[in-house]
Amino acid sequence: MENYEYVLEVENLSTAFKLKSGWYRATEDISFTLKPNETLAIVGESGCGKSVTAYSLMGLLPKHGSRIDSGTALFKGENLLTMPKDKLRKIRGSAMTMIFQEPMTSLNPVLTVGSQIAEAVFYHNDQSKAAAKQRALELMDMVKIPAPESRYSDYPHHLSGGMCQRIMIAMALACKPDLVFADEPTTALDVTIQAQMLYLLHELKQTQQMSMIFITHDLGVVAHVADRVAVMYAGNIVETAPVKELFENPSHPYTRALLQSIPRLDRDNKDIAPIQGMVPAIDQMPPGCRFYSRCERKNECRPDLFPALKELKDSPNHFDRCLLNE
Amino acid sequence: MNTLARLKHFGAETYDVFNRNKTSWVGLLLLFALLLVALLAPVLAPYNPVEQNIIQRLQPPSSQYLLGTDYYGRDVLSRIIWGCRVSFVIGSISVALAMFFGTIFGSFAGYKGGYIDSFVMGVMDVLMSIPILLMGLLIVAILGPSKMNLIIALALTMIPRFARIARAPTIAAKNKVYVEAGRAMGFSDTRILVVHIFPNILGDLMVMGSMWMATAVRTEAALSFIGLGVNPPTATLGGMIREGFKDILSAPWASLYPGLVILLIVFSANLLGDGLRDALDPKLRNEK
Repeated sequence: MENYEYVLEVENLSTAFKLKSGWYRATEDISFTLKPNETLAIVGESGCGKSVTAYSLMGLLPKHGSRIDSGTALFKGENLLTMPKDKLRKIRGSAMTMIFQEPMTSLNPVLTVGSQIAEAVFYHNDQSKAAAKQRALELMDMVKIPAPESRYSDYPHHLSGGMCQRIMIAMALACKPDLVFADEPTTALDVTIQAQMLYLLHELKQTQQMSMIFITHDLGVVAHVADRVAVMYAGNIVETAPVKELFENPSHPYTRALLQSIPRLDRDNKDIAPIQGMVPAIDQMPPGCRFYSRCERKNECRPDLFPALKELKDSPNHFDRCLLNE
Repeated sequence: MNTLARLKHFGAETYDVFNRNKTSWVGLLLLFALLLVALLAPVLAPYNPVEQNIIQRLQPPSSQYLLGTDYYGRDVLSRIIWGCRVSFVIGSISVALAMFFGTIFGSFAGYKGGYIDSFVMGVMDVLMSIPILLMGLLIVAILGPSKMNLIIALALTMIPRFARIARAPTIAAKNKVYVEAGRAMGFSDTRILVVHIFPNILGDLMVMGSMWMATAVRTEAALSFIGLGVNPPTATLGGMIREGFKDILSAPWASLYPGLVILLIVFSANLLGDGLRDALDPKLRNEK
């Protein structure tokens, strides 16, 4: 094992997209760290920049119309953002992989599922095809696909969504990655299958020694899988904390409002409070705090200062981006 | 399952889908029969196709000459059988060449997008704006009439067509999540294109291949008809129509029968194309 404290150390990452009227930053000043074997959940509503962050780090942004404006991202001590493309490509799929949202469309419809797993093994390891097939069967067994030998030559359309997602997970784990991005891996599945997937991922994380970045908008899922949580709003990380701390002592007004707006079984649901207003459009971002216009404590605050993400005085490891908590 | 079993499975599935469109069997069998005739030309042809017999010239169909004789007294049936051979060789080789290069250009342009796409497809569009016959004419006029040059000419005129056909499904496929997933797995562009996209567009290409096979045979016939095809006395279907043309009123059989055979080839290739489209469409295959 190389010597590094963090598997991933992202600092000040900003990604911009080109619109008709110019370049706009979809994410701004993203900073977080990830320790070995840790799971970080990135939560936020649609369009807040969760996936953009993952795609930026993986080097999967579209070639035209997007760029990374600033930042460093050290993966095991090496900067992903300045690395030659070929080197990044070799890391991608072996040391750093991704599980996608739509299992049914993420597999190639004209290739058998087994051969797709074997390809992932074969491509990144110097192995014979027979050995790759053997490893693919092992992986299928590992993700609990019954009768791997007979499933091996099935096509994706023969399998259910949950099975396809297991195949995707097997592909992602084929080369024993250090870091797995899971981009809403349970969103397209129904609830019972979701639970199975979360259980499987949890178990695999224990046995496979990997870190995971779990992207989701489902706080219930977060509570299940995450060690730490980063809450995103309009392209910023507004709060990060260990999962228990975040649910017990949310400090940022957005996180608090978010937790209040979710119906819960253990609470009288009369006081569910929706967050008033809308997320500002990407070309109309305010200069200061992006949540200002919707914040319940805006009277105590000022709109022109952009808050920085900083550690709270009284609780270590808990960061937030709010002027009121300074 | 081993490779053989998978192949059998694939074959059985294809057979099922093919069965849904009965006319495609007609196309396949007809084309197969014609191909067999072409292959067995030395055995089947009752006479030497280039041997002239002045005494027997322009004989109507009879028990001796089943389809009659032409202006030089050559047996029309024998010439048709040998002509099939030339037509098939020219048609299939030129289509294969055009399919190969057209697919490379088209799918590369579609996958890369941007300026590369605009440039490659711009060139293809310019080539495509010239009618296929005129283009073939031009190339044969420059290179001189021979079987090889005819193949080159036909292939060149069809490359832009195949490029177009390959490009559209490539663009559709490259935006699919599985291509994104392939990139996330670190596969190179070449690998994604060859291993992941190509099998998905193969169906479209095969269909167009069978359709353009018909066009290639037709164009070869047309070029032969205006005297820019294969050199006489080699028998070609188009060449026979041209040679019989001047006696069309007194001895119609000399050009009528080769014309009918061209019709049969084109017709069966088109039917087969229809069937192939159904058989190779993954959506239809998926229906159980």
